[in-house]
Amino acid sequence: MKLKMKISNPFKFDDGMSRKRRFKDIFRNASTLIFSLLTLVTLIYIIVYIFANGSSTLSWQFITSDYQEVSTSLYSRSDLNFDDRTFDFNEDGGEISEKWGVQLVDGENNLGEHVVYFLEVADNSYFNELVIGSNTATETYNNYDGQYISNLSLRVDEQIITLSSRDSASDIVNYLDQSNEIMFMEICTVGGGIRGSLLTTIYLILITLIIAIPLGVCAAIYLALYAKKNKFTMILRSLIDMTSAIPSIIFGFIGALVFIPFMNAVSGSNGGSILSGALTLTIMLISTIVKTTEESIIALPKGYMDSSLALGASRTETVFKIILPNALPGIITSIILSIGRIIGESAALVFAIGVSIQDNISLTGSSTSLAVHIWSLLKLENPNYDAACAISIIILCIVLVLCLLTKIISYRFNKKFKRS
Amino acid sequence: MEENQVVFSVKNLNLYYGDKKALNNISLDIYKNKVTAFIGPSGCGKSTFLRCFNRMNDLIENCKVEGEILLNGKNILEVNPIYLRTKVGMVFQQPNPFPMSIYNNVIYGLKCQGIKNKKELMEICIDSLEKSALINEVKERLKDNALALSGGQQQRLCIARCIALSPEVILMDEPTSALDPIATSKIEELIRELKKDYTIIIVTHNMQQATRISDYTAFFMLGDLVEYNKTEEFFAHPQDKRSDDYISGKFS
Ligand SMILES: Nc1ncnc2c1ncn2[C@@H]1O[C@H](COP(=O)(O)OP(=O)(O)OP(=O)(O)O)[C@@H](O)[C@H]1O
Ligand SMILES: [Mg+2]
Repeated sequence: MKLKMKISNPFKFDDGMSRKRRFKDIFRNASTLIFSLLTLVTLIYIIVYIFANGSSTLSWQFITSDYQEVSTSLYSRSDLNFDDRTFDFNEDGGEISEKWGVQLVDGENNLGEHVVYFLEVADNSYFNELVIGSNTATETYNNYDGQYISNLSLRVDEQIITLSSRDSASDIVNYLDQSNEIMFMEICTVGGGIRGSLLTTIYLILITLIIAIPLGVCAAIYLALYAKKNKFTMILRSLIDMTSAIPSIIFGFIGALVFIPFMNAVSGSNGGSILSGALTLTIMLISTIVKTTEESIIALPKGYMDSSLALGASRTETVFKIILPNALPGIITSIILSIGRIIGESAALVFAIGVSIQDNISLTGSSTSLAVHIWSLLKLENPNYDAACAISIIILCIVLVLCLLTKIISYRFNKKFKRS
Repeated sequence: MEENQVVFSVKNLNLYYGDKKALNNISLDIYKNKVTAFIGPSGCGKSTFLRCFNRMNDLIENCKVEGEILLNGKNILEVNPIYLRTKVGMVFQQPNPFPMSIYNNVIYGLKCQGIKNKKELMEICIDSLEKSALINEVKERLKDNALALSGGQQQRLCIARCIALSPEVILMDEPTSALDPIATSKIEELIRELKKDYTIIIVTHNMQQATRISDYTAFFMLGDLVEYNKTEEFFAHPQDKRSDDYISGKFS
């Protein structure tokens, strides 16, 4: 073999590097910089996009209201008579119909569309004499709080005027004042909210953790302190390692094939439920909990176990009095990481719970989590990006808080052990 | 040997780690209120032997013990190991107080015994700290975290923790090897003090230390007990060639 050596002229460059080396160096540094910048810019773009599109939709109403709109059809009775009433209103603003005794206001629904809300309906308003179903019915209606007008047909001088929520409050009031008869009015509760999905997510977190933490912590204690080094524990360990590498959609399959039929058999539910979802998530997360807990147990000084035993404590006493309290920061970290994953998980839950957005949540009924809610919104004929972004903001904020929490816990933990 | 009460009597002890024999047919007696030092080159089985006395070897998976050890005439295999370990305390090479308050460290063993009376616990705590010559340094801060103590103080705390259980014997495995000379001399002084009340077995690498504090010395090599004698006689007139070589530093 021929060995070719090139020695650079030491007087040419101060740092003794050849032109080629210098060029390579610059190239490496530049590419690192460019790629980091690219990542950063993309990340910032995504976050800015999400906040720009989502913040207008995000409101307390969005978080607490139902997804489904509930509409009611109202009519003025055929024998309605107008007398000389005056109306008192307590609220300011909006448009007042002095004839009917209602105060309407322009606003937006959770999809960002213009709608006309009832701001106030006076106690003696003619609206409280409207009836449900048909103009010959007798059941009156008087709960207009937070509802908006989705359709309105009025008779004005033998003409029929049809209005919808897209018309402004002043137009509607204007026509109302000219009319003596509401031929048909459809009012709606505000839909598109995420209350149901938020509740489902909270239930999922609680139930998953209630099952996964005791199982995971016990398994970690067994593996770290009791398990003998034999084939069985080796296989167990590699299985646990493997589960953390399996893509979540496969867990979704497992959920659909195993846990949904199982829960259907046990609880008589029909299809995916919060419980089948929680069981699937448990299987998914347990490896993380076992590994993090085991690592924090192993990281403890080995002398703790020995010296506790040498003081006449039993193994169980040592585990509960010394090992677990000191491994607690690790356990808490794993719990927080798990919560983050539950909130962000979508692929597995699409199969293991389902995608139907619900407002009445029960543990055995179908509903869906926030992340899958986003997926469902984007799958609509007119994908609702604003609402999806609003949910993303919520998820991002929760994850951010959880991250900060883990940092704080590990910081305090390190501080506590610094002088050991 | 002069009239001495035997605490531990070891008879034909063999110990295996798997197939490997770590202790070879050892027989010796440990005397009451004396300090017995185990010396020998690294890996000769001193720690292994020491751990036999409070059955800490039970916890090692592939460790098998043959022969018998009698504590006051009773085979320790017939004693509940948890009870045995309260009667035979142990101090380790690394000072390893638990990350809790000084007070809780001292009473840890008692609490495991089920003693709950606060007054009694506090009395024993103070008494143990007095006996381990730590009380003056910590009496103002019993509720402070024990990890804030210096290495030497931590080791004396470990001794206090042991004493709190009022054991008969205290086993010490190189208790001063992680400490500086001043802390070491404090511990040595403490050991001389403690032997009035307790029987002490100490593993040490330091032959000066053995001569300073021990009454009896056992010299081990490759799992064999080579020589066991009064410390003065052992160092003045070693009977075995190997002891002589070791003392004169021919190998270590
Ligand atoms: N858990 C164990 N499993 C297998 N072999 C062991 C184990 N512990 C110790 N040994 C072996 O037993 C022998 C004696 O070990 P031991 O720790 O008792 O030596 P020692 O005299 O205390 O040494 P040192 O002075 O370095 O502490 C060594 O050869 C060691 O390799
Ligand atoms: Mg040793």
